[in-house]
Amino acid sequence: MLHHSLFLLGEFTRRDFKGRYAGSVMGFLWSFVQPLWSLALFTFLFSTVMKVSPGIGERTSNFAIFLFCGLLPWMAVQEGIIRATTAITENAGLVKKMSFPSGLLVWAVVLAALLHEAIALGLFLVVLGVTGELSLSGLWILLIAIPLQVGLTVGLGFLAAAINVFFRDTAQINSMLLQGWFYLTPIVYPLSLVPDRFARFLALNPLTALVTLYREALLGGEMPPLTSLTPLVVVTILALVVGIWVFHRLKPVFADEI
Amino acid sequence: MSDTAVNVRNLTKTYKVYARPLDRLLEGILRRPRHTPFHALQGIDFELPRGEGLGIVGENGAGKSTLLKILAGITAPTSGKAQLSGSVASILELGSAFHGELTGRQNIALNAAMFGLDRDQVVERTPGIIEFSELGHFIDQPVKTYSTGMVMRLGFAIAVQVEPDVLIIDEALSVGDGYFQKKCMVHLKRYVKAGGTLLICSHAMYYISAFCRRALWLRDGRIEALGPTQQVVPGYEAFLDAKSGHGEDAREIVEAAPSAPARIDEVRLPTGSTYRYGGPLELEIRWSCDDPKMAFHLCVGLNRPDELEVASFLSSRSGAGPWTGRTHYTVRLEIPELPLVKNAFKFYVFLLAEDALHIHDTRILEDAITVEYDEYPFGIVAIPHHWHEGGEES
Repeated sequence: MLHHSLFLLGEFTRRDFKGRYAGSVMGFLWSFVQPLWSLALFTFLFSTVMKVSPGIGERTSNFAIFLFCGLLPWMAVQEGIIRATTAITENAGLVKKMSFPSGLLVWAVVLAALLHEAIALGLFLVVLGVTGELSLSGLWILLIAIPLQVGLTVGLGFLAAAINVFFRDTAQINSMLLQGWFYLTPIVYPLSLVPDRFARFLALNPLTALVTLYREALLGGEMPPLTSLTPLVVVTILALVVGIWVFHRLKPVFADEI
Repeated sequence: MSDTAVNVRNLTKTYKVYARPLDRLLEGILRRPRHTPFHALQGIDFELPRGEGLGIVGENGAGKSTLLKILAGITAPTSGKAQLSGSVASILELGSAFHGELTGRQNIALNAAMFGLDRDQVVERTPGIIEFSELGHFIDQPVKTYSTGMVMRLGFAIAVQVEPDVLIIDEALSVGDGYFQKKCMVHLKRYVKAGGTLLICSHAMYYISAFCRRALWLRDGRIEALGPTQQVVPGYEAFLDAKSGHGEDAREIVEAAPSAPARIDEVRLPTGSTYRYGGPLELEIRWSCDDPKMAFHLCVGLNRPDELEVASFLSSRSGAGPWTGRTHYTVRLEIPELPLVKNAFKFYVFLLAEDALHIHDTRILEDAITVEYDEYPFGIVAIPHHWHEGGEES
């Protein structure tokens, strides 16, 4: 049963990944272009115009590299949640006409987002190698960061996907919430620039810990103290438990509601 | 595995109908009902032994699709239970899982996986699926370039290669060309013969009679009749006839393109829709054109619902027509003694040009006539004949 679910999940992910670029001229190259475009825009805006610099305590003085470490997990989380929200409603034809574990549709978009991230990550490691900032000593930290990131995305994705079936405004609300979440996470600025009285709250943001893990992993750092991961671990577990519970409770009537 | 393939006990399904999406949200928050209940199914009870076919008939909205969806595991019943033993595959809509941008071959894997095949089985059965679908080199083209018929051929090819213990089909066969329908029917007959259990819902009584020993008639969400197909189906048909009235041309389905230079305006059966062997039948065809200089022939085809061509009537061959010199025409085809003995039939009416080749317009009368009988006849036509005793050997 699990074996078959994994096979089916692989096929769904492939369908999502292949289907997205099929028919476009640049095809697969888009998965490189999109992160580079965000990187260029943010670097111009925050580094060139607003003169934000990574500052003391960060492992690089190059803003673009600093930014990309944070952008990588963010883009996967954001893409995963946004696409998971409509994963059930957009596949109404499937959900209404075929009998299959519909949760796989959520897993598939989260995995496809992870695949995009992996491509961007590969590209990024090459860039780091060229600029001479590549260090492999911390890469193992990704083995802790990625499962937490996937758990968080899937948990929130399940919740959003199920609610969106009954309440279509979820998709709109989500993109607003995500916009806020992006700026309240130290991605385009270092945590050290945030005034103390706000920094305490930012540290409670689970993505703060995730972004920190990525920076340490990619820039040859070391494992941050485990206590700093508490918000990330707690929110991930909570999101998974609540998301999966809500999804499975509402699943039997999805076909009636979309 | 038990001998009972399907066991349904006191099944009900109630949908909550909300006037506005906001009501659904408010009900969730305030815990006060803000919906109108709609009872799609009430107190459904039946059993189906392994290796049998059950045909489900009923009008639109009677609950047929809801019942099949519950049996297929797509939606949950409000109360009661539905138990199916063994593997189940359902074809509620052919090709609904296809991704238009991917090729036919790429779509096979996902679709077959959704029907429950594992990786090895998919690899093993893909050639058979491609062969059954007869798509040839189109199999490596994106599905969005396929015609509806091609999508269905591929969809059905996948579904039949799954070989489930219980197969659920909702109206999926009633579209597509005649050749493809025939192929599907042959396959399904073989499936039931080999011990497969089939639940099929269709408006075409022919399919129900072909595969199913027993039939279930649903009316407003309740069982109106359940029993042998020969009893349930005629009862349902009589109910439909009583509802629509005889001799009506309400069953015409194909509309003429209004811009055509000549179009069929009306086709009706003044002699009604139910017949007996030897009775007279008249088919009245009215058409109009813009140019009185145009000349016309007519061709009428009489087919069984599975597109077996039973008879054809071509005016150019029988020495009638061509009709010309007017803008409005009424022509009657008269059959003094109908040689048919049983079954339902449909009419194809073609308005042809003077050359009897070019088609100006087409009408199809689905389920146009039904031939009733007292004693069950074998075959569908009666041929005048004699029997003689004795001869050269004596």
